[in-house]
Amino acid sequence: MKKTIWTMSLVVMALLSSCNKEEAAPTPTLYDRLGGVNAISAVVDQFIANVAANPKMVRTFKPLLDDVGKGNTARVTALRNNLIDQIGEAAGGPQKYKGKDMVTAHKGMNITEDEFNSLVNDLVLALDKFKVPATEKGELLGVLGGLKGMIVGK
Amino acid sequence: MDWRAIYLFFFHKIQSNPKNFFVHTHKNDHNEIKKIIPLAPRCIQPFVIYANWEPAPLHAYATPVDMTILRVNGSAPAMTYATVKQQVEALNGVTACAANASSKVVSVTFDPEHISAARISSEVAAITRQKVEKAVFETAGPPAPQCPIPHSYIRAFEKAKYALCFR
Repeated sequence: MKKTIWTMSLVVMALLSSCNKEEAAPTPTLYDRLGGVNAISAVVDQFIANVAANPKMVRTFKPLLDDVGKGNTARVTALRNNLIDQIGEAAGGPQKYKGKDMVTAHKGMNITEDEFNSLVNDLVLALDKFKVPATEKGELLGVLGGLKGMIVGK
Repeated sequence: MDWRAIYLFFFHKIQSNPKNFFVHTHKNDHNEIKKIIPLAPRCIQPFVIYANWEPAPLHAYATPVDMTILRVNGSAPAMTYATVKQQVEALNGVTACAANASSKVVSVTFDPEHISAARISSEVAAITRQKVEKAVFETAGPPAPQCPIPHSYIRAFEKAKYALCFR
């Protein structure tokens, strides 16, 4: 009986590991053209640094900034991870974003249009720092700009 | 043969015959060891299956970073903040830096294995020639609810999960 259970466990594990789909796109996706996870994480790091130094972002990011001030970077790490996943998925990357949807994540924060535009400006500055080509920058901002309706005024 | 199957095969071997894999520390502990050892793989096995249920997320492949936010006390020219950004970014281990002259805030993301927050703080103080301390923000925050579980617990759980993910 024990041998049967262990044998079945081996079969299940072999099946699960073989279910990993290999995505072979015929043309490079935006994710590939941006430079993959290393480039996206570099842009996200610069974006977060820009946001933290932006006085217009203090109201919406205060709990996160307060934690960083106390030496606890768990929240900013969670934000960074979610941004990497979300931008990676929006750019056509292999993995999926598993965090909250934008409406739920921003519910009750009453984000104004001015704050949203300031955030987008911080992202543009981060993309410009790494000299992301205009085509890729426009594509990425177009995808993320579509989230405005789910964030502003919620 | 898939190496993941080999890994579980040895799990089975350890559980069925622990004497061949573990050294007895004392003859009086023999019975206790025999009770505890077979339980260990059984406790870990469901977590290993959960860890491999789906591929690791994209951020698991990114280098982990830390963050520090500093406020410069006293007045420094706006050009100094541009110099701070340029010189701090050049430090080994710093992944990003932003310096805002109006709010006198310098925020830095860095790899803690290569550089420390204290070193960054001393560098900023040396460049600005002002006292530098961790930034405290006085504005009232948004009324959104907070997660009751400390985020550090969630991060530790995720690290253990990714460590056991073989996909």
